[in-house]
Amino acid sequence: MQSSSRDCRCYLPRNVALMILASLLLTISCNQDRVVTEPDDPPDVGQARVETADADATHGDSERLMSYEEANGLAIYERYCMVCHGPEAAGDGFNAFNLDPKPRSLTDEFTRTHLTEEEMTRSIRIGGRSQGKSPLMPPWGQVLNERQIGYLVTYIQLLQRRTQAAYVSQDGSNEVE
Amino acid sequence: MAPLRLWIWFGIASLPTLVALAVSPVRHVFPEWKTVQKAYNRLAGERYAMGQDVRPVEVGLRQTWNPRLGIVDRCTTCHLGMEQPALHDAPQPFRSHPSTPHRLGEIGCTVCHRGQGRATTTEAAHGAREHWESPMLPDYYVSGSCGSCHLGSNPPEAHILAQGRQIIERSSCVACHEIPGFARSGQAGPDLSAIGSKVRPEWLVKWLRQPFDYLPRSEMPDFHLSEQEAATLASFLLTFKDGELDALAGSRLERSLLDASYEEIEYGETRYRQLRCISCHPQEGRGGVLAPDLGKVGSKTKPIWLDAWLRDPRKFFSDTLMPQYGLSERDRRSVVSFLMAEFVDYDSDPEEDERIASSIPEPTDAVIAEGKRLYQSYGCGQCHELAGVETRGGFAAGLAGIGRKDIDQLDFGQVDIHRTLVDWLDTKMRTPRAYGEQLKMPDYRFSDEEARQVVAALLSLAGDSIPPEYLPASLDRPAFEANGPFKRIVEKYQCLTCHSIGGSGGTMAPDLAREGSIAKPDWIARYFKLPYTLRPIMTERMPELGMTDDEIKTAVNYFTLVLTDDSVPREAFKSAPDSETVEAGKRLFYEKYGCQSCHQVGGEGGYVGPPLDGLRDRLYSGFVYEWVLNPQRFIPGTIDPNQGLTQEEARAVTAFLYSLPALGGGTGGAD
Repeated sequence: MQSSSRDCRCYLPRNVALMILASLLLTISCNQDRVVTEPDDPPDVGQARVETADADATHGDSERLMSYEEANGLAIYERYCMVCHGPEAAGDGFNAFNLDPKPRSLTDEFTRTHLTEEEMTRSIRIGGRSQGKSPLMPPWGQVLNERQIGYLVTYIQLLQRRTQAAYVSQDGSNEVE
Repeated sequence: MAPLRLWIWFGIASLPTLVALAVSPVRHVFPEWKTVQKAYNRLAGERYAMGQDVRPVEVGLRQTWNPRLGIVDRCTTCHLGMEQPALHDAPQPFRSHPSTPHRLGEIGCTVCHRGQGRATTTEAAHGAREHWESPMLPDYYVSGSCGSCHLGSNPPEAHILAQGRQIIERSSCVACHEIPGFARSGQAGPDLSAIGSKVRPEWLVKWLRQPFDYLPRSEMPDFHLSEQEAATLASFLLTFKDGELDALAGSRLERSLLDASYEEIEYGETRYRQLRCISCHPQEGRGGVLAPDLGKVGSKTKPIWLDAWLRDPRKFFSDTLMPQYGLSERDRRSVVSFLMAEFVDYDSDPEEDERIASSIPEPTDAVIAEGKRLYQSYGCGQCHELAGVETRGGFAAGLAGIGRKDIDQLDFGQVDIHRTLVDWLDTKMRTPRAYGEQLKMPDYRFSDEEARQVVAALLSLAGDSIPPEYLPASLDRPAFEANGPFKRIVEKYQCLTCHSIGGSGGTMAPDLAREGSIAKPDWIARYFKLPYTLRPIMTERMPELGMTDDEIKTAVNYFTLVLTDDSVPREAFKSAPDSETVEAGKRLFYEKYGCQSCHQVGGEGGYVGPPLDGLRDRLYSGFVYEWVLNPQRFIPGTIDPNQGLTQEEARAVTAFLYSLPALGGGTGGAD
C-alpha cells in the first residue's frame, strides 16, 4: 500500500498529461484525415505532362487537354468528314477538288457567325438538302447517332475557336507592325 | 489521500477531452458540401432566370449506390450538374458530364474515375492520401477504365485504350509477361536457327547493341548490351548455320547475285515494284507497317540467304507473315540483286565495320557458354527460336491486376516521382530499368504519347470482378479454319495477314467471308492473275502472288461454294431493267444522292470510294442492290453513308450502275 501510494504520487501527473494528450490526439485524428499531397500540387505528374504535351502555340484553345467529347468528335471527323472538308475544316480535303460545288469551309468567318449549332446538327444528320444545298454533302443520320453527331459538332466548334484565335492573334501582330 | 488525488487529476484531464468531443460535431454543421450546394442553388437560380431548365436542389447528401458493383459514390453531392446538359459551360464542380453511352446514375463515378466514393470532402474524394490505394485517375487515363469491363473489343470512344492495347500487341509484351486478354500466337521474332548463314557478322553486333539505329521502328527493343556482351552473343549466335546455304558461300551463284548486270538490277527493281513489296515493307516512311523496312537490307543480309528466303520463307521461319511468292528463278534472283545493289547502308563506315567484325571473339567453348548464358538471361528465347536452346515460361512478372496494384508492392527504387501507380507505370514505360540496375526489361523507345497510351491500357488490367450483367459481349469470332487445299493456299500466300475471313485475320484488306456472294468468279480469277488497285487513294495493294492456275481454280471454287451469304441474292432484277429505270437511277445517283462526290464514273467524280465503271463485270447485281440499301450491313465501319434509299430507288440506282461499261471498253464513259 505504502509503496503504491508513493508510486501514484510520483507518476500521476505524467500519466494524466499523457491521457489528455492521447484523448486530444484521438479527437483530432478522428476528425481530420492526413492529406499526403499538398492541395496546390498538381494532382498528378501524368496529368500535368498531358497538358504541356498538348500545348500548341499556334492554337490558343488547344493549350488545354482535348475534352472527351472533342476527342471523340475528332475521331469521327477524321473518319467521315476530313476527306472533303480537310484537316482544319477549311473545305480543302484531298477529295475537295473533285467536287462541284466545293465543300464548305466550316471555320470561315461567315460560318462561324451565321451557322447555328442546330443548323450544323441538321446538316450532318440530313445532309446538304437540309439547307437547300448540294447533295454532295450526304446525310449521316443513319450512320451516326445523335450522341456521335453531338461529339462532331463539339469538335467543329473547337476548330472554329482555334481559327478565330489564330485570326485574332494574327490581327494583333499586324497592329504591332 | 493519494487515491483521491488520482480522481482529481482524472477529472481535470477528462474536461478538455469532453469539450473537444462536444465541439467536434459542430464541424459537420458547416460541411464543405453544404457551401457547395448553396453555390449551386445560386447558379441554378441565375440559369433559371436565363430561361434554362436548371432547378435548385434540396440541401442534403446525395449518393449513387450500386451493390452489384460495390460502389457508394457521393460525388454527386457536389457535382450537381452532372446530368444537366445546359451546364456544359458551368464552372466545376457543376459542369455537366460529357455525353457517354453509360447511365451515370447507375454505374456511379468511381468505376471509371476511381477516387474515394464515400468521402464527402474534396480532398478526401479526389486526392492521393496515405494508405488510400485508389486516387482519382488523371483525365487522360480514364479510358483505361473502359477496358476493365470491355475485355474483348475496344468501345469506339476509348481511343487511348485502343492505342495502348495495340502497342502492347505490336510490342509482343506477351512474349515475356502473362497478360489477361492477350494470347501468345506464334513467335514474335524470327527463327535464329540459321542466323549464321543469314546476316553479316558486323551487322549482328551493331543490331544487338542498337537495334533502333538500323530500324527506327524496330520491333526488337534495345537491351542496353555492352559492346563486349553484344560481341559474345553474336559469336554464339553465328555458330547457328544452315549447311546447305553455307556450301554456297563464295559460289558462282553468290557472285552472280552480287555482280549482276545493270539490266538485271533494273529488271529486279521493276519486279520489286510490281510485286508490291511496299504493301508490307515500308520504304522511306511510305508503305505498309507489317514488315521491316528493307532500306539497308543489302548491308545486313547475305544474298544466298535472301534468295533461299524468297523461294520458301517458311523453311526458315514457320510463323512468318511473308507470302511464298510463285516467282521464276530469274525474277527471284534479279530482285535479290536489286536489293543487294540498291538497298545499302550508305552511312556505314567500312573501317568501323571491320573493327566490329574483328572484335567478335572466336567461338570457343567458354565464349559459347557465355553467349548462351546471355541469350537465356535476357530472355531472347521468349521471342526467338534457336535450335537446341531451351526457353522457360513465365519469364517476367504476370500483369494480371497491375492496374490496381498496391503502391506498397511497387518498388520505386531511387526514383523521385509521385508515389502513385500511374507515375510508377509511366516511368517504367519510358525507362524500364529506372527502378534498379539488375532489371532486365528492354527499352522500347516509346514516345511520351505511346508510353501514356500503354499505361492507360495497363490500368485496365484491374482484376476487378465485374458482375456479368455489366460485361459487354464481345463479337470476336473464333479463328477461321479451312481444311485441305484451300488451307494450304491460305498458308502459302498468307492471305490472312491482310484479309480477314469472318472477322479473324488482318484488317488491311476486305473481309472475305461472303466474297462468293459479292464478286463474280471470272473476275476473282482475273484479279488473282493480275491484281489492280480498286481505290485510287489506297497505298496498300494486293501483291501479284504468282499463283498457279490450279491454285486459282481451287480458291475461286472455295469462294463460290463456301464463302457465301445466302441472304444476298445473286440478281437484283427478274428481267433486264428498262431504260426508264436506268435514267431514273442516273438522276438519283447524280442529283438526289450526289454519289459522284466519292465515286468516279467515266473519269469524273471523287476519289474516296472505288470507281464504278464496269461494275457489272465485277459484282453481282444483288449485292450492289443490298449495299446501296445499307452499306453498314456489310462493313459496319464503312464511310459510305446509308442514305436511306427506298427499295425502288436502290433498284434504279443499281440498274444505272449496271449499265456502266468498263472504261476503255470501246463504248466510252457513262456520260
